[in-house]
Amino acid sequence: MPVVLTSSDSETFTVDKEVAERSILIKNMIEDVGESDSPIPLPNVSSAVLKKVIEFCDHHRNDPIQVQDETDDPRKRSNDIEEWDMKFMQVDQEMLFEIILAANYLDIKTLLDVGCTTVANLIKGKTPEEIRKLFNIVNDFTPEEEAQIKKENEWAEDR
Amino acid sequence: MAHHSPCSPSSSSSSPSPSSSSSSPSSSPPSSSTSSASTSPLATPLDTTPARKRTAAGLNSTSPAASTSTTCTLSHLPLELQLLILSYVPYRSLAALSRLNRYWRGLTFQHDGLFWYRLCQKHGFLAPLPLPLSNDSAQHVRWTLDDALRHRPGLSRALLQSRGRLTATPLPPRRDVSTTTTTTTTPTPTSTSTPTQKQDYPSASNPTSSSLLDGRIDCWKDYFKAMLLLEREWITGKPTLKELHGHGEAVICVKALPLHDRIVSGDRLGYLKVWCAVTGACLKTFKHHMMGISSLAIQGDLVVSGSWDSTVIAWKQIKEAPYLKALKIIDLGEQIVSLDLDDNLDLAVGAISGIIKIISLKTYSLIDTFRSSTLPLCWSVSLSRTKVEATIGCNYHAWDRTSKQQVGFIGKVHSQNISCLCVDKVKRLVFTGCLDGKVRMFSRGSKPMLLRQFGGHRAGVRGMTLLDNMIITGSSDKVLSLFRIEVVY
Repeated sequence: MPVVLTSSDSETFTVDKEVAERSILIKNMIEDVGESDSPIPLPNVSSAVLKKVIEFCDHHRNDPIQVQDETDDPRKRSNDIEEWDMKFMQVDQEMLFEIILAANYLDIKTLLDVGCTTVANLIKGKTPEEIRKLFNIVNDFTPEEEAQIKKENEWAEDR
Repeated sequence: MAHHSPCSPSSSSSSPSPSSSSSSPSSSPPSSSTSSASTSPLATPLDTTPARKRTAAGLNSTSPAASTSTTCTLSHLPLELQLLILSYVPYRSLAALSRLNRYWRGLTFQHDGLFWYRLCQKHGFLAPLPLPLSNDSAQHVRWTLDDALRHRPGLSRALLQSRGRLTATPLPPRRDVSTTTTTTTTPTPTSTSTPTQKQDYPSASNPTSSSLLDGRIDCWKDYFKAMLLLEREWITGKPTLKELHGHGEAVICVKALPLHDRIVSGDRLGYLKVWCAVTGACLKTFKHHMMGISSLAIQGDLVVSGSWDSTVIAWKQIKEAPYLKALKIIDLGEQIVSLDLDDNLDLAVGAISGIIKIISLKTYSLIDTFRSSTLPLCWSVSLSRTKVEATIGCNYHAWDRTSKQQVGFIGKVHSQNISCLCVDKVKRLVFTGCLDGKVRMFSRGSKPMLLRQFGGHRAGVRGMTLLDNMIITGSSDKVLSLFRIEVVY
């Protein structure tokens, strides 16, 4: 039975239940309320973002739900993401962070994981100046402080 | 999973707010409020509400970023998501992020986040956690910093020993610490206070690196840094040499007792000595073996000594004098050349005939036997859950314990017999002590590579042990040598 979702800007989306239930939030809602025809309001997700989220969930509809806990060996976790996910995440920065927010709100672990990995990959290998430029972050250190912090961080940067 | 379930309501409240409120007001109040706030008291409550909201609604700092066209940026994500992203980033990037501005410095280097713990795990700086007793309950078991440090009592010593080469000076105190969030609620006439709307972490003003100066490790970040530096120095650091005199005859074997930061050594006449690893003072001498002590092994608080008199003695470590207490004597009927003990209390005994026996110290029963195809005797063995590594003659061999296949070999490097072997499983290094007086460091794998050499003894190396930043060797020249790798930071 399909599920109807309503975005913050009142657009409705009809999706398969198994697709919608990739979101733990929606899954719990359906379990709590029982199946009904009335749409599920998602006041924190705009239609543009919801569209992307549904696209992701639809692509991953057959994946086993990940039950990953924190005791998992972190060495196994790599920053590699599937090609499809990588393409999927080729969006502008604003959309990227909106997707992360939505994934967090809707409780979709895999999407949050892909989102964070994408951001991490953006940051990786960049100098502070490049990161500032990338994310529009303003430097509020005094020159002396900056020199001091640079020196303090040498242990992590040199090699 | 802890990061998302409780935070969804807060993230939902903060996510729309930057787009609606903070983007335009953040740029407009400085011009309007400073003029109006001083003249009409009515304007004050109107102006304070967005300012309060901004500080309350998630720790979204760097409001200047909001003046640009994008409304949802990295800086506007709720704190828990920013922290989550940090846990995906390698330490080099954390260092880069800490240099962005005050807010990110606070987040990465002062905030003792889970991500530093994760990095420690990822780099193998933490001992594996004891397995949970039941599968369902103890899922979120983690090391506490205290427990992790208790497993490495020598870490602070290693830091202190290097303090002479420290160059860190504290960050100059911030001039505007007092004029942060409090000033926004009561607008001051000085318009210069407007750029101080950044987030303020309680500890953001004092750099954490100064605690490392005192050999103190206050947070996971310090722990990570100390361990990383220590590890790096094993490959590139400059070694210094300290000699401990006291044995009257050749020192055949030596082991570190990291539990209490001590060293134990055995000599050719059967004397066993306990040393302090910090001062190098000899604390106690035992004479329990009839003949020379060929080998020592430790696991937890257990010490095992093996002798040419064919006996093995199991000792218990004690914190106070007399430091060691004999528990059990086992006679193997054959001269013992080498020993090792794994975390399951399986003891590997290398005997004069070239046979390696695996004995369980829980049941005192023989589990397995290995033997080399070449004739010369097995001088030293190292045992782990998966591998048996041994030096036989001039060669190093590694076998898989289950398949019994040879999984590693070093030949043609040592001109004389390899007398002792140390394996660092975390750093994946193999150290060999050779009768030519040198210690060699190899990568541990199917094709080991020679990385470094340490020299200094006037006669062959007979025993060797590793302790934090030190290689400790005993030699036929009756000297115990401490090669200390200095950590520069």
